[in-house]
Amino acid sequence: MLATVIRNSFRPDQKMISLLRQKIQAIENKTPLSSLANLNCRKFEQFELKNIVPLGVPEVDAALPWNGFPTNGLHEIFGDTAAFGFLVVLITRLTEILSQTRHSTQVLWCQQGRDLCGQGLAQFGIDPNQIILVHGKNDREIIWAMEEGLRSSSLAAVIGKLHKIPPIASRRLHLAAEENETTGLLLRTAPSNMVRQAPTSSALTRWCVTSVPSITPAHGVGLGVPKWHLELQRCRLSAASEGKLESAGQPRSWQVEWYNETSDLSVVTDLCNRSDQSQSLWKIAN
Amino acid sequence: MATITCAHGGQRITAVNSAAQAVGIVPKQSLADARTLYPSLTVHQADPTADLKALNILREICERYTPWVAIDTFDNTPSNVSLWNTGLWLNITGCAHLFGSEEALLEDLFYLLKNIGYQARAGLASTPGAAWALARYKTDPQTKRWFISNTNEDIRNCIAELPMKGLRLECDIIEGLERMGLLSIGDLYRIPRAPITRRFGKSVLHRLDQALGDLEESLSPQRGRSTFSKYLAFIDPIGRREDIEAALNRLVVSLCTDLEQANQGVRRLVLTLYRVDKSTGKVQISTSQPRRDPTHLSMLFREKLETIDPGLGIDAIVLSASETNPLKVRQTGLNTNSIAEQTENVIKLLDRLVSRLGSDNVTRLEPVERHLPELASREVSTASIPSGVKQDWRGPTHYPSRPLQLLVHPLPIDVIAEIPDGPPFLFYWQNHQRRVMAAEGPERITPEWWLIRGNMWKTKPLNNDVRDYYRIEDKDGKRYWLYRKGLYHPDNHPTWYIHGFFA
Repeated sequence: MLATVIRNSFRPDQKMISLLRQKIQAIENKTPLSSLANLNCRKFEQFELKNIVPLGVPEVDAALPWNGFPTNGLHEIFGDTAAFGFLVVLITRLTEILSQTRHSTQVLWCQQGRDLCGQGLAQFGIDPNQIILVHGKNDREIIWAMEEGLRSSSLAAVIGKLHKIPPIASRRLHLAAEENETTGLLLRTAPSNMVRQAPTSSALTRWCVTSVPSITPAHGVGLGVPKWHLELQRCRLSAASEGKLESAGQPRSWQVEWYNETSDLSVVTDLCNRSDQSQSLWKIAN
Repeated sequence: MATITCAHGGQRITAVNSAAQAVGIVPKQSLADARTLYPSLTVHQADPTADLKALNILREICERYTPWVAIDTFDNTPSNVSLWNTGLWLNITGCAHLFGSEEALLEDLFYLLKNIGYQARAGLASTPGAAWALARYKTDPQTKRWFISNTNEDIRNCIAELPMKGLRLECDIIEGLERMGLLSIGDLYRIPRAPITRRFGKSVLHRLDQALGDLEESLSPQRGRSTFSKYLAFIDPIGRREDIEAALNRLVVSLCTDLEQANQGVRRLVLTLYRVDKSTGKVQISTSQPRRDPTHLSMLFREKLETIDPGLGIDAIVLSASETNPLKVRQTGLNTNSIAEQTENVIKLLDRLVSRLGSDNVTRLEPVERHLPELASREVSTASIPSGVKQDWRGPTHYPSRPLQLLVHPLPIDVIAEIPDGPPFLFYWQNHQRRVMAAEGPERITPEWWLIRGNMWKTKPLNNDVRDYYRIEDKDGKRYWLYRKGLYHPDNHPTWYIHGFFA
């Protein structure tokens, strides 16, 4: 008697199994299923473009599917001190464009240490008065402050200097940025060899910026113009890439130089193969 | 007329009016004795609580003269049921000139009290103790109502002839002193102090020193309760966060309605929780601008509610505005994305950030006119500087390039230089050896001359405090800001520090 009861209780429910099979099939074939569609997940394809801020470097802007940086999204920048510089350049571009549309140009800057130099920022072209500094005790507080900043929808940009960010947090930040049309910028301070292994986040773009030796100035003394290796590591292709080149959004890298005086970022032309003639001409001249 | 109370085995007089005093009726007398003196004496039951209430009203009235008004509850009558000896303290330091003079202030006060039906006596002195004695036991022959003593020396003479009661001592101590023949306060000046302390305890000399100003005495003013205060009691104690939040929201909404009627905005709100075990908890929020927006205020509390410990349950909560400022009703625009709207949003954001992270952690940079780079800017709380202030970040002279990241405390590093006072050739940073490929400098920065230690003329103090800054690029193209502290000297080897990073 007892045995039958047990057997009965373990008899598979055919109805349930068929439903599960259906679900699995739906997941594998990526066909929409009513029960799955109810899951609270928005498709990236729904990403809607609002405002584009070009970096001012034609080569880099052309490589992005949006011809610049969308202001309603999260961007991630890895790297060393050069990444810091690249971030500041991005902010100057953002505030420049937003101030024209009578938009507030205040920036929320969240980080743990107190190492921002007002004079340095001012020389880069940012008014330090426009920066609200937030010091968090840990990454959690910084992420919280960033989300609050993004949701206030009255800031030009929200910057967070973080070591690690959980995927859910980055997704939340991106959604907050998208809804409130505020740019979120993540400065990731991971060691350069760890960048490739860093887990993917919901950021629209991922950059890795590292310093490279500058070209010695013509007179041979002092430091040359700062030179960075700018690498677009990841770019979430979106509907916006229609009509653009196939290559848009593909990982690429450039060598750029920063001219502080003219607030100009420009790509350094790559060396190319050429004949030995120039060398020989030099020899003749000597 | 007199008031009576039941004490010491019978009905006793607690307070008398001047007519009764004239026929010789005094407090503490039994009613029977008083009736023999004046058979048709009208008597009323004494009501100390009502007395205290009336005194509180008087205190509020007196707050027009000074914010520092306290109720004096010292009573040296043996039956501590009457308020016969009580009075009000008014600390009029810095207030008298607003009325012209001290006399004018008292004149005004007496006129006011007379109009509402009070007879008053006052004493004015530089110490509370002397003022207390003067108010009760001395009258100016001219004015008959008050006595003013001006200087400290004056106090000594003034109170010398007053009875011992003027010292605010316990009844039995006064009796003891009188039995020894010490009848007036002045008698205490002449006799040695030690035996008095031995016999009567410290209080006698303590009170004397307070009256003469040799010992500090502080009065604590009772401040009126905040006008904007809301109270909610629960039938059953609550403990869940959601419940507290719901109750709080109700209070905030009703408080904001009150504020709106008064055209006030709140700067600081205090939520007091009364727990079942009679302990209390307090949560405070503050805003950078006066506000009465219920959603915003509730949101500020929400950050803090996590820290609340409901204990065994909360019986009641009180929400009171401890600081309010006038706030006019403002017309909001139809355009939701106007600059005004944005500034408003930013202020709300700052309030939220400050309430969770603390005002030290939400800051703006401000330039300071100092030479040393780490002192040339500082972080100040966002409440003290608004945005859009024009700041001069260039300094007195246009600086050469400054790094983006500046270490708060420069870190000492190991450096190898080709020549002692030249740029570095090699240095160690983060356990790696860095080859210097290019260097720019030096840029010499010294502290302000008035801060340099040592005698400027004898030793050469500049040698130790001068900093020679170099901008360095290493083999990988990374850029640093290094400096050498002090000048090279055969017996003084300068140390190197790293101070910042260029992009």
